[in-house]
Amino acid sequence: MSSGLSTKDARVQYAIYGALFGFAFPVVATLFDAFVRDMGFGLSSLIEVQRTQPLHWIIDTAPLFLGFFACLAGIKQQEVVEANDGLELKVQQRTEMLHEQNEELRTIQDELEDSLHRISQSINYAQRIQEAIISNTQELKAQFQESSVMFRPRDVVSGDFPWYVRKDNYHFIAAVDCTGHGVPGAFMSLIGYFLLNKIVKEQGMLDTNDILCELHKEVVNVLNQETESDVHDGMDLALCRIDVANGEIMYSGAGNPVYHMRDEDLVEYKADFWSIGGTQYKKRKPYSAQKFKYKSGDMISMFSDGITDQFSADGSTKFGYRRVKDHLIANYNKPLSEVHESFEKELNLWMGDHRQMDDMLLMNVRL
Amino acid sequence: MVDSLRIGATEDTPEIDFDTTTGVFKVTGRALPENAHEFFKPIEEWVQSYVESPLESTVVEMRIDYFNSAATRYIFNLLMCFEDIVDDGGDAKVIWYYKEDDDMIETKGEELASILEVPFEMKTL
Repeated sequence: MSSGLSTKDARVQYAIYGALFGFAFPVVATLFDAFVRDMGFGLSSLIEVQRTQPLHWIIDTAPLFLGFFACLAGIKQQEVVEANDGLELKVQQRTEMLHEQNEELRTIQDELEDSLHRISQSINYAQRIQEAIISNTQELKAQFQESSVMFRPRDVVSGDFPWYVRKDNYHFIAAVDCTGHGVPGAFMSLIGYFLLNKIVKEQGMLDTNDILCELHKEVVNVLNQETESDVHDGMDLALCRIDVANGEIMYSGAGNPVYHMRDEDLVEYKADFWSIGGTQYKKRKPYSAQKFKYKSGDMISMFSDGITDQFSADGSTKFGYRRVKDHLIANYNKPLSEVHESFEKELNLWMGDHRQMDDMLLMNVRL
Repeated sequence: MVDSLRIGATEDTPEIDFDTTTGVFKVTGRALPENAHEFFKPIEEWVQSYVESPLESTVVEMRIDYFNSAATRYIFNLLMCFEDIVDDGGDAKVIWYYKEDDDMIETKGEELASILEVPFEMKTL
């Protein structure tokens, strides 16, 4: 409304100014002509000048033309003003819109932060429970002073866990790697932990191959995997039974090997392929066991594939079995606490800024 | 005939390119999905319907450079589906690619070869 009025205003205003300015031409011309002709400046002489000189008739149209052109200029000027007003309005609207979007984003961010905080709190709390349950590495330490556990969850809670139980004259040690990591991994780890305890402590099963067969049966049972289940989860592990009296170790593995070191010699005992739980392979066979003698001062080492599968800083290469073996051999004579420390250092250097891909567990025991 | 199946790669999941015009099925990349079930289940279902009336020959090319233990199980299950083709007298094979220095992927391939009842070839990249 107001812009409509001002459009008219500018047009009229410019036209009047133009016409007034144009009016100066015939006035000056007429007076000048009267002066040149020495006719005096009376009204009759001015009329006479106008009447006798046709050139003045042309000059007389100046107010008309100048008024017209000034009016056009007024229209142009008004357009510029309007365009500016329009732009300003647009900028204002956009600013308001951005402001609203900003507010929305801030709300979303707050909500996300809130959710993240709650989830983190919840997982941190769960971690306390997991830690309380799986704290038996102290027992292991009490039995084997020279032992170390490197336990590095990817996301606070872990699917990997170290396990130790003493039953009769045997020490059972396992490095267990459950499928998944984080919360689902932690669920699985509790299933594994309690089933292993039940099988060894309560059922009194003592042969490692029997223990793994039973563990598989129980996991399949607990997760209802017998039927066409969509839950394929389970675990890989290396399980050792140490018979101190006879200096003998019995080992069975589901996917994960054990290393036995004496001086600079490292012997690898390979695991059976079958993972615990999940996929019902047509060819699945019962787990096997291997026995080997050890001497005081020997070392055994078990780990999860989170270590061997870890990518290098540039993402091109994996840590692999070779580096684990080389490190253990090179540091064989050092105290285990130092081996542990230097291994972590090497691993950190290897990973650099690359994200940790999976949970990591390394258990070394000096016998 | 089932339509081809194509799923783009993400940081945590491999590219799936199952081309039913050529019979070459490619899985390429890394497999560590937070929810392995959600990612693999539809693929497994697709393969199950494919093996009911497969092409004359099917070649599964696996170029995976990382998979976590959950994904491992789904991948094994997926490959086991192709056993049905062989059981019915059809032609299917798996080619397992691994980098020369990647003993982890090589070992997984060897293990798979020993349990899968599908012709299995190991090739270095």
